[in-house]
Amino acid sequence: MTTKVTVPGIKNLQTTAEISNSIRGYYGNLKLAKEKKIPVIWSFGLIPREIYHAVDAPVLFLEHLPLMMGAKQLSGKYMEIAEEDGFSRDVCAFHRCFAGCAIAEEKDPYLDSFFVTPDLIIASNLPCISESKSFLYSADLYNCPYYFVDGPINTWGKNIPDHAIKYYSSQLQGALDFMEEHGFKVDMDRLKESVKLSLKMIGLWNEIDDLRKTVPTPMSAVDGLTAAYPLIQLAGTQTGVTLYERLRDELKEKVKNKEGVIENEQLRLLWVGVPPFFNMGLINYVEKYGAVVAKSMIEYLAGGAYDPSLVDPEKPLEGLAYKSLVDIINPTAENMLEFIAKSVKEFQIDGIIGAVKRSCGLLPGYFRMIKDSVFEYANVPTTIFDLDGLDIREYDDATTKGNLDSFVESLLASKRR
Amino acid sequence: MVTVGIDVGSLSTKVVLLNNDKVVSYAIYPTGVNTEAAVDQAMESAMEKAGISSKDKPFFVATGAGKKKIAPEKQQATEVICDTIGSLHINPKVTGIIDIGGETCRAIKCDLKGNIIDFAMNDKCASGTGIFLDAMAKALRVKPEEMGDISMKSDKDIEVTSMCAVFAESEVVSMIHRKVPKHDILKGIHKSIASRIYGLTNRILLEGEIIATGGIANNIGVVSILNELMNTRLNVPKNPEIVGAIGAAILAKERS
Amino acid sequence: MKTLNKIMDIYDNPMQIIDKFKAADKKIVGYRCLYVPEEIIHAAGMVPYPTFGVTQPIMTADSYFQPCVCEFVRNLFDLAKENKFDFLDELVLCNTCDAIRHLYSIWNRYIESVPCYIINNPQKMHDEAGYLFYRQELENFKIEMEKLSGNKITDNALQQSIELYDETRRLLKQLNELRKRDIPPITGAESLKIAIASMLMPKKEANELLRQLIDEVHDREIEDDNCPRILITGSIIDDPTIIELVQDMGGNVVVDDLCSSTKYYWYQTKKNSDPMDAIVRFHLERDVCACMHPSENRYDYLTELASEFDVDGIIYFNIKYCHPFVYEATIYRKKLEQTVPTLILETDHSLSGLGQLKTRVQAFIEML
Repeated sequence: MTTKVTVPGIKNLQTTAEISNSIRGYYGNLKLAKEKKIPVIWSFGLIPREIYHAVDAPVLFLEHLPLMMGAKQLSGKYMEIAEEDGFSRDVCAFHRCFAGCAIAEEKDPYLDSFFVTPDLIIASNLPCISESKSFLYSADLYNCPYYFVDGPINTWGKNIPDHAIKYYSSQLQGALDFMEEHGFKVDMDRLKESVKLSLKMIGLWNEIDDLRKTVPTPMSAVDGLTAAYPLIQLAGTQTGVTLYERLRDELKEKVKNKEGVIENEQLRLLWVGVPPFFNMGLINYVEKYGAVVAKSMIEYLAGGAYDPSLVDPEKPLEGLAYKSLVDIINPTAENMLEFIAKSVKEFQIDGIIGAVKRSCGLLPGYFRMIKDSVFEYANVPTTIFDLDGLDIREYDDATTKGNLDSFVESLLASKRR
Repeated sequence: MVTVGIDVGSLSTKVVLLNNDKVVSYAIYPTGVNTEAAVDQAMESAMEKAGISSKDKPFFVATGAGKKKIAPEKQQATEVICDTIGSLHINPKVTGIIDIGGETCRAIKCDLKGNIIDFAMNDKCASGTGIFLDAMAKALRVKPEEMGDISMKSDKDIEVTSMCAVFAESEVVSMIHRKVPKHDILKGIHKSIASRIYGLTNRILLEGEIIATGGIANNIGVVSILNELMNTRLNVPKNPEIVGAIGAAILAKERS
Repeated sequence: MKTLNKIMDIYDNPMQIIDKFKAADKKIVGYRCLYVPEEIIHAAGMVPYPTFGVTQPIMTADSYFQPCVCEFVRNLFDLAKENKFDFLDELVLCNTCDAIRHLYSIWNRYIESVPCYIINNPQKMHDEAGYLFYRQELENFKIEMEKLSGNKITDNALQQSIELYDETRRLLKQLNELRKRDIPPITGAESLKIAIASMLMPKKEANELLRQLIDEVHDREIEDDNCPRILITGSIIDDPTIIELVQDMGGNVVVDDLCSSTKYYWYQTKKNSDPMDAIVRFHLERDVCACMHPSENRYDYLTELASEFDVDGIIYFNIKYCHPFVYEATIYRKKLEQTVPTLILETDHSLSGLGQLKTRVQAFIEML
């Protein structure tokens, strides 16, 4: 017997409300571009967003649209549409949902307000195999040209060798050439500027992180996930910089006034894995125990965790290649483990929630290693349980809350000892 | 002081009366459709056995699937923590707990100080639980409490291959038609359950002294196969089904 | 069928090969996926050993990988945990899919007896920049193999190894082209076992046996059941039970596009004075793997194979949670079905639930 109770997350910050609003504006611009007959690009994979801003291209990101569908409780519907067309239930829920949105002939008005068809597709294989395969379906469906950006995985940890940078830069150059072939103008100065702004955003994000490390934390993962939107999708834009300046200032105020998300903070938790987009209220659920989900690892996608001094805006493609390759989500696991262990210490995390999305080929492989290395390094436990952050059909509220209850209770008991 | 622990399971409700760290009495009653009535009955029975007036309302903590129906939030506790506290009360040296209940199966790992390090639960699926065994008992026309002993007579290695309880039942029915002896079928069923449980314990790699709790721990067939698979000797306490309720009663003492 | 029996015996008892190598003091380097150049390992005087799984339920791997990661990879890890791969001096993986990449990280952390190396190959084929990248990776790999073996790898040695391995590929292809006949002289299951045995054996021995085998089976008489001709595709099948299942249900498996068969031997290296360059191009010019791009090339390869062998039906046997091939099947299905009826199946690597599989295969074959 499954129970489906979903509750939207509670945001505490002014700036995240602003960020939410800006999302609408972004998709509105895509619609405008379509009307003006500017080619719209569908982007699959963690391709550095800065290259799109360099050509001022209107881009629909696969990584974002399903998230919106999930929040509106519509993701299951579109996944089913994809499954009826032959997609296996075992492949990534994000890609299934997105494919379903593309395939569906009749779209919900909500989806319609965001959706634009592609004229071009640019896809990368970072970070996972789904990114490198599912776009082919859309390319066929819309019969549109595509360019594949081949990103080498990171088998070196922090020091990316020259031949990898060279290769990936050549791939990014290929993407720029492809866009130029199809009507966009590549402005290298814009690209350099974009990289500069991106570095600024990372700096601000790190400042924001530092403020979140205070006890009590002024910002929960609910706000965090919305706040990550500029970092992931608006990287390299002035809008992104402005939003983060505002966010940082808001948090500074909160920290000054010792305003935490909850008053009596007993536990600080880290969410690793795909957040429950259709039930963000789960993140607030643990607050009744005095536990706050201070951070979610997915916020670090495409940002943070690298040495900004190694990115030279004057050599933008090389810089972007490096930044992309050290991303913690990229295989292999070295960077991610180190980063999470460090975050656990710095955020003073008491426990990690490991939510396994069964259809994911990438994240589940990391969980055990995260659990063991964090326990070794910081004596902090991780609970691992099944939770697909996008497939509402599979969701069982009672089981999930049972897992969270058990974990939080066991942490509180240990703390009291 | 007297405190009470109530474990409202999906199949049975267990009530334990604790008086200053000692179990004074307990009662087990089928949960049925009316949870409150079952709890009342079990409480009455346990209080009577302890010689305590039913007018007394000792402080209680509730756990189990039905805890929300009978207790305010402050008096609820998860099965994981109750199992752990209860198990450590019986044997302070355990570092692993396997609770095989009516609808759920869970494995818990703790350190020697009693901190819960890890746990894994299987509550999406009936395989590996009491409900599955009860269904099998019906199909084979044996009493659930006899299944273990009967299965020990088997020296064959019959496999029930279906992972799913529903398919397993039809597999068993076809075996009955083929006149496969009951004790052999039972061993196969127990093997199937034990494999599921073993898979669960493998997720968190239980080691050291391990205790088996919950109703199914009474089933010697399942326990002996688990011992083989896990290469260990599971501790099976005298009344394994009340361990969770013991833990809840101890928590009641802490919280009152 | 003396030679055939000899090869079947080797397939059934692979440990005898390992024992021979160990007795000869040879270092054994395991590998998985087709972007690990065996020739480099061989030229260092070591033995490249393809790692295959064993049909058994998953044991402790679920705790390390989560139950939703490719079953084949989890099985390999289980075997490693059971010390079944302790005879390897090193394991070499490459950049194909998420599961293999995870195997690299998880193996290095939890398997102490055998170190694991990963070659970072590009996923774009036929690209000059990719050749350069892969070349550098292989140069690094060469150094690693030199370190492990204590031997210098000369260009000459590489050329010889390339010739040797090419000969094996050529002979396997020649043998399997006999299956283009109306009545193939070897069955699908036999072909898979021969391929796997050849991959495991020292190549000189394999080549000799294959030459004899080709003569031996050339005029072999097999009953003509007039069964529909089937092409099997997917990633890896290391247990011929699946192929036997199709045969039992009335299908004649005349060609198999698997990592454990045709993908391995269908192409040969092109002559090149620079052996490393030859190796680079060989690997980045054969469009056999679903993890690689452009996908159109792999589609052409698959359909050409189907047409060359005049198949009546294609069956995808995708291991549970094998994302690359599951996606590929979805993406190709409509187009494929316009020319050849296609069935897409998911199988457990541990081969549980064969009953359901049989029903679906039978229904498909009856339809053909």
